[in-house]
Amino acid sequence: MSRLIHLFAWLYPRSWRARYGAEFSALLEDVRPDGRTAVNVLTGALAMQVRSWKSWKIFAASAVFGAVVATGLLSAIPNTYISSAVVKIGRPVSGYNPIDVINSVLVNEESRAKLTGIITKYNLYLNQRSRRPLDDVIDQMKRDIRVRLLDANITAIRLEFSYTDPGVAQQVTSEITSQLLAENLRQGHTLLEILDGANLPKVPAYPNRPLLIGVGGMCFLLMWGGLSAWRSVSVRRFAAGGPPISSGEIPSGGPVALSLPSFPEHLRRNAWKILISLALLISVAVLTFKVANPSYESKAVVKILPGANADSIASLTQSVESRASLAPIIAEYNLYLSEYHPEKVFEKMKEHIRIEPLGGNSAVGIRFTYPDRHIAQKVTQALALQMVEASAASDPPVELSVLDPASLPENWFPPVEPDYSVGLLFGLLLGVIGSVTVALFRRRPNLG
Amino acid sequence: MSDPSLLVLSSLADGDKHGYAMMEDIERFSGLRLGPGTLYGAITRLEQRGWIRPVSSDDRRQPYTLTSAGREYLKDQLENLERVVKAGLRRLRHA
Repeated sequence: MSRLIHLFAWLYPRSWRARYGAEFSALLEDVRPDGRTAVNVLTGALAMQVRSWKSWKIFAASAVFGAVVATGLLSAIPNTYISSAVVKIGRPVSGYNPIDVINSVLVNEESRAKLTGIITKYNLYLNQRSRRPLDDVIDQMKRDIRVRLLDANITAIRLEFSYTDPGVAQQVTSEITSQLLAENLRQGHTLLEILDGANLPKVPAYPNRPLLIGVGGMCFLLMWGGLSAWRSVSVRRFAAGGPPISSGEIPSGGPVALSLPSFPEHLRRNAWKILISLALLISVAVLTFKVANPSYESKAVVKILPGANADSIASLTQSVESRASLAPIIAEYNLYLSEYHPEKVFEKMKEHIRIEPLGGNSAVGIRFTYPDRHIAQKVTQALALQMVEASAASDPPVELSVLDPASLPENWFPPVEPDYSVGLLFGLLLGVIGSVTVALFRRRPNLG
Repeated sequence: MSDPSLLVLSSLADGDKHGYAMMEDIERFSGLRLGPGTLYGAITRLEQRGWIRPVSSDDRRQPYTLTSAGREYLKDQLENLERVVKAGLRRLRHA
């Protein structure tokens, strides 16, 4: 403990140690070397450091602290991947309720045996299984499985399973889908078909990286503001009632004859620093906004079986882009919430949808661009489903099948944006350059 | 009264002392034990204000003494405190 206390004593500013180091060391040899003393020496050293720091040092230390917090959070929270599959339900017949089938696979008492089988087969939740009863693990799995009806008429459902391994997430989603189909057959129905097989997620859905980077940024701002304010107050209190001292240095001894500026004078003297800090904050905020709000493009390919012509494809496209088709999708996914005028919502959505023939008239590509990549994928799936539904209802009917299911977009659109970390480093670099510039500008008058 | 600066000044009021002697003395008359970081934070402030100064010594333990400005400041502060204490006690008695 004594060695640790002496180590903490080395954290005092060099100028302070040059003046008080020997006698402080002698005092440390006399006092009881316990944890309380260690904490007292450490906090005393940090307080003395901050009081003697120049502004750029506080900025740089806060930036490093924010970056460490963001990096720590990003590495501490495990990546979670979501794999999804879409199952199409045929035209309902009397006595058929797909909810019963879903319940028997995922909800009812009999589902526990099925889920236990999946947990054992894929070695899921190894950590939880070693610490918690199996019933709890099954409940956890149920929370990780999500079933959504894609429309009010229950013409399709989407199954999602989230897990820390993307391959396992895909396998389990595929397994659950198969069990759903098997249970459907067992109950005597043949109305389910897989429209979009379980995808292999390439990018984790969680953690929310922009949010965690924002937390790091907030830590930086709080520490920067807090330390700057504390130092300012501390120096003022330090000087109150006696000869004033400068905030930038610990003198070697005796009072210092410098005047402490009033608050407006302080503002005037630090105008450069304040302006550059504001510019940096705005540039980092703009960059963060840009980085945190990219657009993602999801695409699906629908195969058109022989017999269709350009007119029928154009008719299907019109049908998918019609208000009757788009309105339920907009309502379902709460799209364009910032837009108040319904006309503009439809216009925006049409701008973000691209439907184009591929390979002559043998397939149609459906693309949708949106800031949330999960919603981009789900809306693209819904659009592909609408096209399949429209084809069945068209006269004469056009036979369609989904060739390439809606992908979970990996890249931003346009895909030339820098990575988050590059954005963060860019902001930090700007901060360091700005602070050094300010320090140089501030030093010049003192030399004169 | 828990302001470390005032405690240090009070400790030096009856004679020169080095850091450890101040810690022991302060604990004796106030019941508070200052840590080394707190004590030397106060010593740094008081010396920069010109209220205490080091006295020559061959020992590594550096003794300090009150300056006349420090003695004046301590007197003002203690008189203020005394007024507050007396007023508080008087009001308690009449309450």
